[in-house]
Amino acid sequence: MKRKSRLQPKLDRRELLALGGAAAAVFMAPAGAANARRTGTMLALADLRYSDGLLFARGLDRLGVRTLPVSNLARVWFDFIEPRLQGGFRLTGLTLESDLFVLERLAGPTGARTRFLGLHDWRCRPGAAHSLCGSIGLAPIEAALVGGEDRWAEKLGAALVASTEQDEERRRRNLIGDRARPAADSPKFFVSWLMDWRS
Amino acid sequence: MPLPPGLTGPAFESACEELRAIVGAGQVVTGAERLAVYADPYSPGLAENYAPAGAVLPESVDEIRDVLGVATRYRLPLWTVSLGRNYAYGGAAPCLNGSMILDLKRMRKIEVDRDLAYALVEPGVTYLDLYKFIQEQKHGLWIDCPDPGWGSVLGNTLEHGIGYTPYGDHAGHQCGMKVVLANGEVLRTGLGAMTDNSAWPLYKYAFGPSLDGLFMQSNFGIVTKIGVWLMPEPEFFVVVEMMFQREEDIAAVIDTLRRLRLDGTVPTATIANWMRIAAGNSTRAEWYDGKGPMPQSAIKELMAKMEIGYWGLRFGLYGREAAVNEKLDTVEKSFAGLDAEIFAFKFARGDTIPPEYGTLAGIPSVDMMPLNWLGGAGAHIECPLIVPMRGADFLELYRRRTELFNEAGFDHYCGLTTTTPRCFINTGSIIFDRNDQEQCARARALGKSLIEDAHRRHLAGYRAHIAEMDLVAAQFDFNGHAAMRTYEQLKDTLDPNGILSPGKQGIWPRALRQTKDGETP
Repeated sequence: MKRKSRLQPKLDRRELLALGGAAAAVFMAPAGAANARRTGTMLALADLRYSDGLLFARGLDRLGVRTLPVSNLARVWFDFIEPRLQGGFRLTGLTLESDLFVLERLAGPTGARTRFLGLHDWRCRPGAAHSLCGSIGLAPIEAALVGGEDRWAEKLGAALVASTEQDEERRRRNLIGDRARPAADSPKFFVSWLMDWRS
Repeated sequence: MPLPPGLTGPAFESACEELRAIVGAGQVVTGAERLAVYADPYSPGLAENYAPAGAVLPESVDEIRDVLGVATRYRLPLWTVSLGRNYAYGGAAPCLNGSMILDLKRMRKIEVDRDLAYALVEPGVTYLDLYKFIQEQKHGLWIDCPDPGWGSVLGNTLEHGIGYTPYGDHAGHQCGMKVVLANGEVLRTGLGAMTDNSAWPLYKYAFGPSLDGLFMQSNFGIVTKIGVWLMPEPEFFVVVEMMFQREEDIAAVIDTLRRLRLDGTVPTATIANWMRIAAGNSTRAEWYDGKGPMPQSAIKELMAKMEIGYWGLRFGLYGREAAVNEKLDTVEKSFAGLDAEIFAFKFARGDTIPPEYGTLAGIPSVDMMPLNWLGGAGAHIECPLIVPMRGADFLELYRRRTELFNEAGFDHYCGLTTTTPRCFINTGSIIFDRNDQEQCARARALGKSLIEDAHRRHLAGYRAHIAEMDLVAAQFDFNGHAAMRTYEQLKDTLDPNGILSPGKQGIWPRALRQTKDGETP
């Protein structure tokens, strides 16, 4: 009998990235003073197993928004997010779809509204298909994706922080193209999203 | 939204007005937007056939009794849910289109007895709630939770749910039950039938017949409280993981594990195939970006890169340190003849348990990573079986089910959990994109194929999606469906107006019952 490996593989993609140090910094970063007013009531979630998740977190970090990893979502929700819920709080993320599914069900009874949902799909196709839907201004998000190249996730994060509320009417945009390129370790399907809580 | 069968719009509105007078205006829900939370979130394109007319949320047994009075007068069908998190089997959605959801989530009382290690819980208590309650009280007790653990303790137990510690057979560790019958009668089972008998959550039986099983996976009453046994926090705990490289290894793995289950060395254990392991840690597109099931070459490449086996076996060993180490030694010797990789993680009382082993220590999680396997809006339906622990028989079953999954264009996700020592519950999640109608259709067809194939092998379903409950129930055909005839006699006696969860587990009230010719009597 060999004692060698483990059933739950530890695929720590951060080791594969030059961004390795950024993840811890992002997780611990206090809100930057310059943007504290805008971002003090905002948190982000990202799947930091993936390079695009790390880039998303980096885009937010530059604007002073703290990013939490989505692993162990129960702890993230009950220990970090739920205690901060108040009117005007915003939560954004770049995650796999199941994480949003869970979060919407945890957040729903607390008065959350999903103001934006983006589907980013590179499966079985040479380029990307982005489907955007929301009641926030979609133009900056669209610009981040169209001009994002391999930094699309970083620019998307920044666009979501800067997003502004519009009326309750939801707008939709579908984009197809190859300007936003996924990282080599991409799961090839992400969701980006923004929730808020009424003041 | 659909109306309850036989009720006009005004009559339904009148019933709702009476219900509002009982539970409060805000606790009766109507209208498509507010009722969306009761839809089956993983429905494979069938949500319109299983939609509620409304929902009513009582807060107490007295309110339930009053709601039953209204429902009886109007012949308003009530579909009872604790929290409705029974996803993959229909969630909160009713079997009968136009039912009124009887949502018990407002009933959230918890009582824990530290010395005798049990809890009494109401329907709205989640595993997360119970875990937090016990942690905050520092009771030194563990719960057992399913994965994910955001559902109702009571609801999961009534559905014969399972977990991963030695207390993983939830129905087996339930003791004591409070039930409201359709006529408003309130009863307690077991020793609870005696006023002020404090042993009702301690001893499962009664002076006379045991009634508890009648109210599990059934529609004979509304269960408002149960006792669940809790596990004393062990002094020492080891997570054992093993991997086996070849598909055919499963036969010897099962036969070896069976002996260790029967002699008490190993408690609840779980076996996962390559896909279940991979989907818990990654997405399919990271390994293969083609359509159809993954080819063998891609599976082998995945296994090599992830450093996983074709099969993984995982369980915990619990108790005093010396005893646990002795059990671990026995396990290693038992599997020595197999080409296994083994890893053991040891934890003393008070150590932090890493999240990946949380369910083995009764720590609830809400992560649902496997649903991302195909990307898109991930969903799954389940057609699980009860399978005897015989290795060669299971290998044959596994290969046939792999064929069926692959013919339908899906990869075969296979799990085996043994919460009792002689059988497995064989889950085979059909993971699909719920926004893709073509995938939904394939998932539905595969589910039916799996159920029908199991019946040809005389294997029984463990649970079923609401759309398949009649199909599975019809397979219990001994002596001309004698069991179902008995269930129907009980239904007609306990619920003569047929208002409680019509169609649940294939049990229909007389007025909605189909004859063999397909006509209602």
